[in-house]
Order: sequence, then C-alpha cells, then structure tokens
Amino acid sequence: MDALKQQLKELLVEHLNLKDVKPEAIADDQPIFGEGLGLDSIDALEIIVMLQQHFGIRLTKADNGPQVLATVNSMADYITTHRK
Amino acid sequence: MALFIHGIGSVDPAPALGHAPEPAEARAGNRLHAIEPNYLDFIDARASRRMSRIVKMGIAAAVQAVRGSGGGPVDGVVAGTGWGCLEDTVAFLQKLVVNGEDMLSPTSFIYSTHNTIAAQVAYHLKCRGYNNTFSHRNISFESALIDAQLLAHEQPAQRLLVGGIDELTDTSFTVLSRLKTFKSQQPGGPLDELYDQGTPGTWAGEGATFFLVSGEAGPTARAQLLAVRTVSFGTPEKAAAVARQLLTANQLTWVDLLITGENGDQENDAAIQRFATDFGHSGPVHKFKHLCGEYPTASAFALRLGAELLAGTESTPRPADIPRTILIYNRFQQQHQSLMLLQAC
Amino acid sequence: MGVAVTGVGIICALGTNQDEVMASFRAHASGIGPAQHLPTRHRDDYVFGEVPLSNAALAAQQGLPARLSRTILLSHHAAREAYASVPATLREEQRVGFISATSVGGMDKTESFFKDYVQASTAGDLRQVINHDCGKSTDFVAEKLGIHDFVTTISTACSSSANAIMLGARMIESGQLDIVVAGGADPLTRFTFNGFNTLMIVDRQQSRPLDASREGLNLGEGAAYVVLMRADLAAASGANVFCQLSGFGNTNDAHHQTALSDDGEGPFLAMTQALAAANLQPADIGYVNLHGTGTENNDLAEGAAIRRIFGEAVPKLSSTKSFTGHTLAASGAIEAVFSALAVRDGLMFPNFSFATPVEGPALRPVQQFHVDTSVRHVLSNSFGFGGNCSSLLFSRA
Repeated sequence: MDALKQQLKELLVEHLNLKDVKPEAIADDQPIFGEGLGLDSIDALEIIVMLQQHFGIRLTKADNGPQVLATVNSMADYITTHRK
Repeated sequence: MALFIHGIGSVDPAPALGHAPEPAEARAGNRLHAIEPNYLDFIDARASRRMSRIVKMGIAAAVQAVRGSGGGPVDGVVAGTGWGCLEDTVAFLQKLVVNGEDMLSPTSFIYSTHNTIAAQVAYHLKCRGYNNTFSHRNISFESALIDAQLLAHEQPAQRLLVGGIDELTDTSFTVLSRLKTFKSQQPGGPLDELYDQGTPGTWAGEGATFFLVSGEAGPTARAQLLAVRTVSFGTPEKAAAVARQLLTANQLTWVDLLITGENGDQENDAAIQRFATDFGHSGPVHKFKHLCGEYPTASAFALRLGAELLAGTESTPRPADIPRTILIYNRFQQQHQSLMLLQAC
Repeated sequence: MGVAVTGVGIICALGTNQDEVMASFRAHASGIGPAQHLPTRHRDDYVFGEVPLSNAALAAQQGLPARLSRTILLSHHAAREAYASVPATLREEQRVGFISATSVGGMDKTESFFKDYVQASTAGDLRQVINHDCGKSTDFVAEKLGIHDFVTTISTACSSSANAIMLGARMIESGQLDIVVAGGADPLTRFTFNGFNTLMIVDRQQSRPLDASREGLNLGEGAAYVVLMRADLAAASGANVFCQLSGFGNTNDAHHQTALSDDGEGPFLAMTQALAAANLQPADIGYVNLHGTGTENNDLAEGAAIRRIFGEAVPKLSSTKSFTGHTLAASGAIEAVFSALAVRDGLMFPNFSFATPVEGPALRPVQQFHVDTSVRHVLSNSFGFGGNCSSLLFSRA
C-alpha cells in the first residue's frame, strides 16, 4: 500500500508537471484540490487519464470522482479495490 | 490614427540587436531558435506548469513590453500567430493517432487553440478588456496591428498589448523542410550569407514580440506607427503604389530607411527588388531575416528593429544618421505583402 | 455612420442554405444525429450536428475539387451564398473585405497526414498538410469570390466568427472598407471531438441547454457569413437590409483557460458593452440568442450574467445549438444569421427540448418556433476557450 501511495505521488508530480513539489512532500491525507495542493478541474481530468493509463481504472461521471480523487489515500483505496 | 510604441518585449533569436548572435548560440544549421529568458522572471512555476514554450515566450515578451513602458494597467490584448500553438496541437494529434482516440488527456487540447497566447497574457495580467487573435499566414501580426490601430482610434487613451508570436517545433521544421521551405545547404559562415546565394529556400525562425501601444504620445513613446497596410493577391508594383499613397497621406515624400523582408529565397527576393525599384527608394536598406529567420510573424521582429532604430536605443547599431522615418516592407513567397510606416517621436 | 446586414449565407446540420435551414426550424427538425461522414471510432456512441453531405457531394455542388479541406468546402458554400446578394457594380466599385474565422483550419486533412507521419517522418501526403493553417481556407475563398481589398482570419476558439463580424463593422465604421463578408467555418474533426470529450462535457444524447438534465454539448459543423455594408451605401444601392449591427462587445473573462467565472463576469461585460455601444437599455432587447452550449459551466455563468443584466425581466431567449450542435468558430456567424432573421422577420428560435429549469439562473427558453414582430433588438452571445467573450447586437433598420 505504501509503495502504491509513493508511486501515486511520483505520478502526480510527473503528470501534472508540479516542478515546485517533491513527491514526499505530499501527505497521504492532504486534500489535493483547492487549498490543499492547489490543483483544479483540469488536473482532475488529467488524473483520471493517469489512473486509466497506469492502473487500468476507468472513472466515469457516475463514479463519484471528487471523493475518489480527494487525497492520495482515497485514490490508493479505490485502486486497490478496483484494480483487475 | 498613429499608434505610439511605449514598450517592447521580445523573445527571439537576436535578443540584443547590437550583438548579432553567434552561430552556436541561436543557429543550428538552417534553423534559428529563440534565445529564451529565465521564465521564472515572468511567471511562477506553478502558473506555468501547463504552458507550452510558445505561451511562455508570449507572456515573457508581453510582460517585458509592459515593464518597458514603465508599468501600469493594460486595457486590451491583440495577438497574431500564423502557426498557432503547434507543440500542443502536435502533442494531442500524436496521442489521438497513436492511442486510437482513447486515453487522451485534456491539457494539450485546451492549450492548442490559437487564442491561447493572448488569453494567457490576459489571464496573467488580469486584463478583462478587448482580446483578439488573428491567424492569417504572414499577415497575422499586421492584422493584429490594424485591430489595435482601430482600438486606439476609438479610445486613444487605451494601453494595448499587440504582438506577433510563432514557434518552430521539430515537427513543423520537418514538414516545412519536406515542403522545400528551407535551404538545403548547411550554412556555417556569417549570418548574412543567407542572402544572395541565388538558391531557393530560406532559414527557419521563430519569435514572440509584443508592443505596448496607445493612441497617445506621452514621455514614454519611443516611436510611432503612422500606418500599417496589407496587400493581398497583388504584385510588388501594387504594393509600391500603396506605399507611395501612405507617404503622401502622411505628408512625406521619402523615407530615411527601408527595411525589407528578404529571406534568401531567390524568387521572394527578386519580388522585393521589384518593389524597391518601383517604390524608388534611394537611401539605405536594412534586411532582418538573417537575425530572426523566416516565420509568419517575422514582421513583428522587423517592427521591433525599426522602432529601436528610431529611438536610438543603445543596443542597436546606430547608423551615421539616426533615421526619422522608416518603411517596412515584408512578404513571404507567394503569400501576402505588408507595409508599416514608422516615424520617430 | 451605421452598418447594415444586407446578405446571409449558411450551411449547417439543418440545411445547406438559408431556405433549407429555416424549413428545418419550421418543422422543428433538429440536425442532431449519428455521424455519417466523420471517421471517428466513437461514431456509434455519440450524436453530432453534421452537415449531411460528403466532401465529394459538397465539392460537386460548388464545382470544386473533392480533395479540398472540409473547412474550405463549407466556407466557400456559405460565403458564396452571402456574397451573391452583392451586385457586380458594388463588387467592382467599392472596397470589399473578407474576414473569416476558423478554430482548426484544415485539421481534417492534417489528421489524415498525421496517421502516416507518426509511422515515419518521411511519410504522409504533403498535399493534405498544406491545408493546415487557418489562413488557407480564407485565402482560397477570397480568391474565388474575387475579394482582395482586405483579407484576414480570426481564431478565438468558439467566439471567432462573432469577432470577425465585429471587426468587419469596425473597419466599415472607420472608413477603411465599404462592404465586408464576415463569418466563419469549422468542420467536424476527430481532433475537436476527442478534445471536448477529454473535458467530459460531450453529451451522448441530444444536448439540452438550460435544462436541469443537461450533460454537455454536441459537436456540430458548418459555416455562415453575413454581408456588412455601410448603411448609406445599403440605402443608396437598394440593398435588402435585414437589420443594423448596432452594437458589440468583446471582453476576456480572465478566469480560467476553459471555464467561465461563476458570476459570468466576461459575458456580463460583453453584453453590457454591446448595449452601451448601441445606446440601448436591457428592456429594449426582445430576444437573446444564447451561447448556450449545454454544459453545466456555461449555463450557470451565462445565466448569472443574464440575470445580472435583465433581473426578473428576462427577454425571450434560447440556444439554437440544440438544433445545430456547437459549430465552434462558425457558431457566432450561424447565430448572427438567426439573429438577423429574428430582427427582420420577428422569428423566435426555440430550444429543441426543455422540461425543467436549471437551479440558480432558472431561465426558460422559447420552446416553439414562432413570429413576434414586436422584437426590435436582438443580442447574440459567443464565448470561447481562453475566456474570450463576445456579444453582437442587431437592431431594426
């Protein structure tokens, strides 16, 4: 699980081009949108594609995206449950 | 309807005109590339994380132009780009084709539209005023200038950013090379070997040049654009006739300096000779495309050169007599022709 | 001085000329349906506002080669129809401009080129990629129509052709031109369809702007042009005057690359400027042709701006994109044609379907195509990526 979270953090920094953020500086339960990491709706769409590419997870509008994408913890949980 | 130039910002292959770039610095074969600044001086890392190179070049040039004018608010942004945001366009196209219309992400698409540069400049400066983008081949920048001139006529006090921006990418260079746009010989000597080779083709270039302009003079004005005109589907002689009309309309009988858009292509340059002959200019002539290469908005670079010559800026090679009037004539192959008439302030 | 609209040309999913398009509205027949010509793998999963003609058929109608980009074929089709209203004597004696708009240029051809190019950089048919730049279609059509006094192309995403019409009017008002053919064209492409789809704002069903059940836009295609003429020249030459272009506004929302601000500041400023330029009050407006894409963000932002300007006294309004799809750079001109007809003939264009208003702005669109000859002034909105917001105001001559 920790390895998955670390991988997620590295992928976030790489895919979203967060040059000013070190992966290890992202806390597992830190909100990544809004005030937290300062990401926005475009980043959410990028993360959805990232999850599809790296974990084969297809999130649709019906999948309660905001909750799934809220933190590294919530993404890791979702991946663990839904990964084929 | 004169437009006064109060500030100039440019990211191009010749940042300091007085020191023409060394071949190693800005030239790779028949390709000149922009010398880029440290973008952190203009945009913070977080704000620029999705921006492609052309958007960063545009913002840096726009911010330089505002700073050059002494700062202050901007009331509108008008941009011209012949090629648009190629890097993002190609990135999205590539993924579209390779991934078979699947697993596509939005960023390169939403930054691929031609208006992204003017939009991001407006966003960066929080400018809610007039905003427009022209994309019409080699008169994209002139179209933007014509729009800015209308705006200044409508409300002279407005401070407007007007610019020409084009980026060269590996893909566009490859495709344009296959279309035989560029010279096949690899240059190695001085930059002005671009000219007088009697061969087809030119060198590739790129650049982002913004001007802070207004309809009012004031102490910061460095030069004034008296007129800008485009000539479509016409001969060089027709353009020369239009140039003479522009002079007459501005109570001029000659100009001190002619700046022309020779690009080394024998046919293009022969047409420019026809223009010069018909126009009847007997004074000095400057060329500029050996400094910036050929690209659709290279005329923005020429306007920068002209304005800096008129202002007598220190970084510019001063001619013996600093000119008071300059006519810029540009063309690219069989496309459009353009004229810009400049006067010192 | 005044600028008159004296001719229109249109091609979209509703028909290939003004008469066909109006017949579709009278029959309440939308142009939204499965794509027959767009070569996308998502063809069976989405609906489109496609012009119901292949490139070959479009080309044959105009006596043009079928290898041209769809952008050129659409643009020339509509521009030719518009320019036919201008007599030869005026074409020769007056200063005429052609100002076109497109967001993707010859992207349909570039896509074909790229399919081979990604395999090897020496592959791909160069005759396709030479159509790529936005100016290509404009130059082709201008030369065909014989217009050369001024030619340019505007590309501000979905507000492009509204800005083309605005520039045309300003060049006439400043005395630089007498007649301008202004509008725009965009074809359906995989590039734009997949692009909008990455934003998850494409509805799989027919779009439902202003309705609480809306889920996004349908992509469409088409072209439209209006003929703008110096008002005194229009009167002197006995032109068929549809209306005056009495005002316009161009602003930037400066909020986000793709989304409008919650309070619709950019749209509010654009409409406010248009009203001020025409010296009119909100109560003078009889109909608003909304940008109305059918996305959640557009409905809320444009709705907020409408409420800020009109309060409770909202005029008749609708989004014709539920009939045509979102035609991107062409949409401002297509809707300018509808607006010109709304002023001249009192035609009130409906939404295709509507049941429940959106919470918040709670706007109720026109639901039946009908005639209301009391309408004297019509606003038309066009907003785009990059925060570009434009409004045009058309008034009875």
